[in-house]
Amino acid sequence: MKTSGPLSYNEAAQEGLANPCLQRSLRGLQAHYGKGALAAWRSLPDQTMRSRIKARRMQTLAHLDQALEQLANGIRARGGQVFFATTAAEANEYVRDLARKHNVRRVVKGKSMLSAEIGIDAALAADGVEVVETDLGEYIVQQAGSAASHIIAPCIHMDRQQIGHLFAEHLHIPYTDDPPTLTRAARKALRQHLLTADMGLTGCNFGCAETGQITLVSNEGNIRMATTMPRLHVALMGMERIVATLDDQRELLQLLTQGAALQKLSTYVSFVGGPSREGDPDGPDEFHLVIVDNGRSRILADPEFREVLACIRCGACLNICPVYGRIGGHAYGSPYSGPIGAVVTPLLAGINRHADLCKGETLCGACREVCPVANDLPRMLAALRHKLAYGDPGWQVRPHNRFEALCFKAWQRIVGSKVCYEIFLKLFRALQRPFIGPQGMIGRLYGFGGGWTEGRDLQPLASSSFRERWRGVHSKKRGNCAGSAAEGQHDKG
Amino acid sequence: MIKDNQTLFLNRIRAALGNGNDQQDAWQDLLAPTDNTAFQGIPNRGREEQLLLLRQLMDNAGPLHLTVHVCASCDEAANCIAAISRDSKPEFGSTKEIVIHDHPLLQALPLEPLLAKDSIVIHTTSSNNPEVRRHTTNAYIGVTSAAWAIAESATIVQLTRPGQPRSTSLVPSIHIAVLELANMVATLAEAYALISQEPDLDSLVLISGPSKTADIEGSMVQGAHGPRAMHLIVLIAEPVADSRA
Ligand code: SF4
Repeated sequence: MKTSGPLSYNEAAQEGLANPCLQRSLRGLQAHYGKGALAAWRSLPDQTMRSRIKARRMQTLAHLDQALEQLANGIRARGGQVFFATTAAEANEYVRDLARKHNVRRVVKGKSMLSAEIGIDAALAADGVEVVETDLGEYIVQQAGSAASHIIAPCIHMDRQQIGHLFAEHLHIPYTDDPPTLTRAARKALRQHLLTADMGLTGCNFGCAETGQITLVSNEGNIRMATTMPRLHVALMGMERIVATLDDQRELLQLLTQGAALQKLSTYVSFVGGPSREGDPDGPDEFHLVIVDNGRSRILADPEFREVLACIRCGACLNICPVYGRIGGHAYGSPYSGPIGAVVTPLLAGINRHADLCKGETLCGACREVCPVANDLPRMLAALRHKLAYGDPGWQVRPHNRFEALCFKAWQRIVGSKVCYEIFLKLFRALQRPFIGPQGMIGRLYGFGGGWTEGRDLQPLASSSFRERWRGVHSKKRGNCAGSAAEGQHDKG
Repeated sequence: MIKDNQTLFLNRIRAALGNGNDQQDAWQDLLAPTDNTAFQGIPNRGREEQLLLLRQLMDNAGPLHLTVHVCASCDEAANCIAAISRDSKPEFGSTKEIVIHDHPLLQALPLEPLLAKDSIVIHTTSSNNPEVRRHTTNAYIGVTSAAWAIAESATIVQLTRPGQPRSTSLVPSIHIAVLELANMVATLAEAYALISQEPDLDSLVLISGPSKTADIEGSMVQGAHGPRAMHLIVLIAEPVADSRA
């Protein structure tokens, strides 16, 4: 999996926070799409739709072997080829072989996060194959040597001026920051690629077992181009992206386009069932579907996390998450960012390695509200934290921070005993005194405590605890308990 | 090697699921039609109702930049296509060439004489035309016929058929689709019901307006990699004004 650039979670988050263009875009994105998706769900005529579809997703996953077999049979019956790849390396090797066999010089890609997950660009480039992203956002990010920072809007971290300079340099056009002019320049350049490429490489939004077809969704038309004009079409499909029936596909499609972009339907929804047929003047000579596991079966086997495989990668959870909404996508160090990334990246690429992700989220629950398939991401984030705290041999997780664990053990002891707790309070109150600033807050701690005050002030311990105050009040008014309780309530009101 | 891979792969899934061999029934149940979807079959609609659907489609087409033309006759439709051809300039080449699907509805349009006046060349994408690819790449307009149109989302459905390739609605800068009023449906669910009745279902596409992108600062631009303009010509036998009377 292509993960973690050179920056750590904290560093990349800082960078995101300091990028004014990203901050502006994120605000706009969240105000429009995040809130819009919530409103869309509220106005669904059938309020049971999401839970019903989620149930279908889970039932289908429970029969994933049969579903995939049926899909593969359907595609093979139309002359398409299906390859089951257990690992990223197997998938890459298959596509590389194919490219070699067919003497492929140029590959045009439709947006596919799975392709980034398995790192296929590098595998093809190693053979001297030119790989061109054709989704405008992905193309911009590729030219800039950067990484996508949103599932649906890859170059949200760049503004029109940056893109203008980039195009002036790479496409040799006079500098402009006018989006229509920039889009036209990319359209012209990419058209040549799309019309002359030997292989189109796409993802797969849904595979349908009943009809033996895959569905691809786009607004730009690049995916249709990539699946129509080149001699070969290779679709990469995460094994969980399957539905049982055409009806399931339709309803999921509607949730996907609503959740992702508040559209009734994307501009193009293509159904692909195999290679070009007798009498078709266009379409690919060969169609290959590569179904990828790459760690998904492990998620499937764990009832705690199986639910995450119901995800349809709509990006709605990114559009509402308060953490993603500030730090942007790069901090997540993976093609999958936001709340979904915080769950799925550790599960696919190592829980310890991506320990920061689940700890960075706030567990506020907004992603669960907005998710079209009602994925309980906060629950799974908490489960990941639990594994990091205590370790889990089944997932090869070692306790993330033994020192922290020790502190919590000690804390458990302290709060378990009244005497210890009171001694601790006294001690801490005395120790904190020199750190309290003029605003009455602790502005800065040192040593291992420094992390707590990095980026925020700490509230000092109160001079007396509730218990102590209660004791004080009641020792004065002993014998008049009822009265003081009523008074207390009155005060509160 | 491929078969082995599949077996290993599926066995790993079975192990993950912990399924025994008795699951076949349940999977078949999952494939059975569900009756909890709101869809109740396509009602038999009269002309008036079809015209109402057309109005609904036109309302939804506006925001998508899909231009709808209502034509009462084949002559009117041909004139409409000719006007669009005259008024627009080729984006990529200099010659004015048009590709048109090999479809009875389109062949019935008297286009040749109209376009010849402006020396616009027409190529049909019939199966025996070996140069479809070159013609399509050179063309600035592609004319197709839509199997159905969906009112609720202003979407057309195109089935790939011999002589009706996918590139006609994709590669030229302008896409003109022609539809008969009778082929108007209300919802996506209705369209899917029709799609699923198609024998030998293979490649098809749902199209809602010209291609577009909002990748640069969220600003919407029509014309990404597909057509930058799309027209839908709806053939009705009588003027649409009747529906409002
Ligand atoms: S978890 Fe839900 S909201 Fe997030 S991308 Fe997946 S389907 Fe969309």
